[in-house]
Amino acid sequence: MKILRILDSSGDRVIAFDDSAAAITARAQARALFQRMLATGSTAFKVNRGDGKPDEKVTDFTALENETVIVPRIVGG
Amino acid sequence: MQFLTWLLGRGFGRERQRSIPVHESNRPAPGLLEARAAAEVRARRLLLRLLDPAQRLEFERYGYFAVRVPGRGKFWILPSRVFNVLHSATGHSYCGTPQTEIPLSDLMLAQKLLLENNPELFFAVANHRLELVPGSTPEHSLPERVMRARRSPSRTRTRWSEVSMIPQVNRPR
Repeated sequence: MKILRILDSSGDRVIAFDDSAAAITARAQARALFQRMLATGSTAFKVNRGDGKPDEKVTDFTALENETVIVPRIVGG
Repeated sequence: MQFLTWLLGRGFGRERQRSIPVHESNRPAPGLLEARAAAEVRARRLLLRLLDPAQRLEFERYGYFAVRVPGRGKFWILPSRVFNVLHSATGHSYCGTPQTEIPLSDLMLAQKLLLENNPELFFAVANHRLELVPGSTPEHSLPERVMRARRSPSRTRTRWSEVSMIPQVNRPR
């Protein structure tokens, strides 16, 4: 199971999906959301990767691992 | 002026005030505070889970934590919504926040992820200002000093333009 975690006013919104044939719709929705978020300036990071691997920025949906945090577009405060 | 007095006398001002529904006033809507508190609890749990052990220890002890930014050195992320990214070497603080409103712990997490993995983006958009003169404070006490200064009540300042230049007339006693 893979998780997209989108930071928002509630803390975060979680979208879960996997690579199985049964989850085609969920995966398509997650892909569309991922691409839409990045197109609007959000940034995605692979986190909690295990084996001591550091967090990493990701732009390709197929490269997602277990958990991804999406940070909304940032602006100067 | 007479018209204004007449208007207020007829109760127009009072009527307008009374007609504003409670939810449109400055008070938060019922349940909003609880929702914000719940969001902060959730965000803090996520932040604690994604910090590395040293950062987690520092955050639990002091409320802030340090990140290493490739090519730029050490920055502290302070528990504040504005100018909360403090550069240890220069004393500059940076302000870059997500466009949408998120809990404070989410903001700190977002800044950690950006600074450690995509600092070019953060520094391209963040505004910065000089928070402390470099060398004026030992490095390890910089974050405490900044947080203490922000907690203390601000002093009232008088601008030169606010000072009357009309000379006072000394009345004879």
